[in-house]
Amino acid sequence: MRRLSLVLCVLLASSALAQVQELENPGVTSAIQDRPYRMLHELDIWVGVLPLDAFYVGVYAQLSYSYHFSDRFAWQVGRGAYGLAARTALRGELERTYGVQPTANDEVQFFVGSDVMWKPLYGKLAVLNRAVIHGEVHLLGGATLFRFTNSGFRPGINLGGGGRIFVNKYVSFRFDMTHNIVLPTGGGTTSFGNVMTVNLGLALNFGGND
Amino acid sequence: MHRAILALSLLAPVLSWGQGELLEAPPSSVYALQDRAYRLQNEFTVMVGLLPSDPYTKGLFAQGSYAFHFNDYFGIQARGAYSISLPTSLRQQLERDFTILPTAFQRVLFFVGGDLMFRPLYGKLSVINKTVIHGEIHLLGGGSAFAFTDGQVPSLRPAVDIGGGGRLYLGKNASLRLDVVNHIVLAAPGSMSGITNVLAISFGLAVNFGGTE
Repeated sequence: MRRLSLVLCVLLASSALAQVQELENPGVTSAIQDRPYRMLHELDIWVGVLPLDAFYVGVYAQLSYSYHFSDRFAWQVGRGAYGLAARTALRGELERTYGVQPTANDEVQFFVGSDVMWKPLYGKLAVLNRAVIHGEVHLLGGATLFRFTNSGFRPGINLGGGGRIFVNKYVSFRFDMTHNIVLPTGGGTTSFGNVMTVNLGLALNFGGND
Repeated sequence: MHRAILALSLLAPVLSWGQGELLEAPPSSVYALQDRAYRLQNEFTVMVGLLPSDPYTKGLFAQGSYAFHFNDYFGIQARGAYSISLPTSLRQQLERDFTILPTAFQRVLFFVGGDLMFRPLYGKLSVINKTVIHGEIHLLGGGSAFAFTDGQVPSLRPAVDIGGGGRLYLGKNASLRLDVVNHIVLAAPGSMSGITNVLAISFGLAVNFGGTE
């Protein structure tokens, strides 16, 4: 009995020691750490540009709300943006250099939409090996309704993606790029349109964290 | 005597267990940074890219580069690219409907240059919580020489560039790299042409030799 208890005690010690050795070995990924930041209700305020049109660059402000079902899936329930057009030098160049008078350009005035969000990547980055920041990468797919200055309302489908850097459990910065394929309906248009959006936002999160 | 042995034997696992607790990070607090799994030294890159900013001509280019990484943060890069041009519908319309000559449009033929590379961010990402990939973000700044042509007369113009990019490691010898760089092309010496912006978006495969422990 005495021997048995001695053997058991020694065995217990060696198994605990093995556990310590496993923890000390940094070269092996044995487990993926749990997320320190989780999202639930997300409110965003954005500024962005529509860089694709050669005749103007749209500058816009946007508001959005997203509901996060889990760590991987979310629904950007609604987003709405209003833009101003900053004309490029191309119109003047066409007039000046080539003697061509361009017709009135169709510009984006405002747009509203909704997206499904998939968040496959979550990680942490070492900043100059001194600090750690947490972030994630997401993909977006959804639909948008555009209001153009000439052709009026036109629907579009969009695909895109972006990233997020967490400041703390309530605040994060988000960067999104989406490409909208505007359908040839409304305003007598017969061709597809392309509208790219590039935006940077401040996100506020309520709930979701442990 | 045997009581003492028993007491010592019972104490040993408690001590080991306590050590284990010390080594385990408490949730949500960082007390140490892991060492980099991948390090770079001699990097050869093959990239394909797009020059999307010219409203008359889009450029499609192939680029080769070599970078030497002094340490985990700083590197230097030399690169050369050759571009083929694709006329836009605006240019086609100008040539067709307004009889503008094709020689009226300048396009990028090739460009060579060098950059300093600063890599402040290195990290790892969990993919659907199942696997881990490593990557980094870098900033680029440097100079280039751009060769333009109108189809007949080539001209060489200097440029300064600033940009950035990211890298995903496939292994210690291979990684995928995405760069976005804006080249501010200055006027050719003695020319009346102004500053031109050439945005270059490139994606490629990088092969590394050395550096990784």
